[in-house]
Amino acid sequence: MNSAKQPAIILYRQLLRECHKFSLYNYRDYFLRRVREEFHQNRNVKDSSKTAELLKRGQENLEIIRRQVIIGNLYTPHQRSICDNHEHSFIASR
Amino acid sequence: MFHIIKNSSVKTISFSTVSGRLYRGLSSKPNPSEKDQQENDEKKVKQQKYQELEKLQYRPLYLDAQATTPMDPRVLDQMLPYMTHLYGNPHSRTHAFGWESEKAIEDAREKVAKLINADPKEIVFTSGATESNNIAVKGVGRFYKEKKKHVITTQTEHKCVLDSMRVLESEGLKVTYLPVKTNGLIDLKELESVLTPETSLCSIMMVNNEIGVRQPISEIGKLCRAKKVFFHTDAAQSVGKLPIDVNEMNIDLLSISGHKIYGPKGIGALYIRRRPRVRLDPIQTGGGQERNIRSGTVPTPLVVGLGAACEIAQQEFANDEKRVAQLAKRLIDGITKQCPHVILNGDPQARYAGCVNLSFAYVEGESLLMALKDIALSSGSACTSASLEPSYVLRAIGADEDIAHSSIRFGIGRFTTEAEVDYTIEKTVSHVTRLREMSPLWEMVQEGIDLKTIKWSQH
Ligand SMILES: Cc1ncc(COP(=O)(O)O)c(C=O)c1O
Repeated sequence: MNSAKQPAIILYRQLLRECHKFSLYNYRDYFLRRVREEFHQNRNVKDSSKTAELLKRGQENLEIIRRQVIIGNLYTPHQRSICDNHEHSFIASR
Repeated sequence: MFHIIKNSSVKTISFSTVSGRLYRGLSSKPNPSEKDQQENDEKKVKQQKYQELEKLQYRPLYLDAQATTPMDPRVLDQMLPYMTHLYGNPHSRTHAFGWESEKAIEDAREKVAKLINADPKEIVFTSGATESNNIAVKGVGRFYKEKKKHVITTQTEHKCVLDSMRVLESEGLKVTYLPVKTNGLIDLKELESVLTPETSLCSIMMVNNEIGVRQPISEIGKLCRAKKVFFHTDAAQSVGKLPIDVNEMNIDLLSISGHKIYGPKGIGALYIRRRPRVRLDPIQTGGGQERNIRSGTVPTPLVVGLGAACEIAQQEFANDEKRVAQLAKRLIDGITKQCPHVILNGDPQARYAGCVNLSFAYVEGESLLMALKDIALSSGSACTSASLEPSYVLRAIGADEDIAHSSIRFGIGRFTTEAEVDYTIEKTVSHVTRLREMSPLWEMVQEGIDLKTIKWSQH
């Protein structure tokens, strides 16, 4: 693994881990998808100033998501989304 | 319940009565006992709703993006500091609290302006698209009324535009309510024929909130500019979802709503062109904030939220657009493949993809909505569910009464998932099939009887 990719992979994993913590199904689904799309789209960026810029933006987003996960989890609804429930039972029944 | 009557006789009626009348669709006031009965009924319905809430096991999935959208967490993140320690009045001149709030507002103004290619000086913050529409329509109509006594709109506008037009009518202006074709679009030739030297304003919405059709805004803008008529467009359903350039499209006034673009509720903006300058009579006066057009302390957290929502809409534009179109196609294909006799209301091409209004022939829309309780949807009838009248928009596109009654609006947005769409398809198809099996009309159709040939007894 080349060393320029290392920070990106670490950030990617941190972002995914954090996005999984969104208690609201729709936010979780959206941000997981967007993180994956974004990293996939930029996977071949070689220009070092460009990668630095992307990493900085990713880091800022990680901080936003961290804060919003905390706030979201302070006010979780009593019920889960009907689709959330379906997806989970679907996985559990496999 | 929302009849469009040209040259109606409401000229002498005060504003509140005008709107009251519009919403009830009655020319006389209900008598006291009727009113009591009505209040009682409303109370019962409310109680029923609240009881439903207690029994809720899962949260329904949300497919009503035209009514409102959830706030994007990135928006809330920018707002929170202004709801906690950054509480200064943005109009305070003498201390840091005021300055930091003022700066936040000016930053937000820039973000809103950028999204529609305007100058920040041309943006005025309001409480929402309703207020923006009121200021634009009444403001321009009143300012130019000595010289120009005519304004134009369409029959399918949002109620706040139609209601403002009624008020202008009551103040002696002449209003033309343009009809729309069966695809929901206006006829440009017809518009051209009603633009006169007497006309001060033409107000036509960009995307319709019920059927999602997209009016030919650039062409309308060109026509209005050529005839020196100010062009206002209600873009509540299209800002951040369609590319908008107020200069290229020759738009003079444009209304924006925060809560339709993943921003907070209670905030909106009005774009007012400076060159050529649009002048208007303010509705709310006082401290002279927002260039005297909208007095009142500007709500910093909400404005910051609107700015953030606009910035994110711009960044996410391509992604949102692709995703919404993809999900809408999945929904329409999924339903129509398994269900015959489904009609997409409004033009199939000139539309915003995220608003899918379908009519299920031989099914009562209200029954279908009831059956689809775990999906948050809206029926085509925009008014309260208690009303049995079909929506005035569907009526304006010439939909048959039964087609209008069987329509449902599916609103897809940034946070809609594939699983939600699939769930909706499955439930819709199964309930439509079930309800049709119970319908004698459907039985006749299956037997090959043409319903149009049947003589119904009057009721
Ligand atoms: C087309 C249109 N105009 C205006 C409005 C009203 O917007 P607001 O809730 O911001 O006043 C809406 C939303 O209901 C709308 O869809």
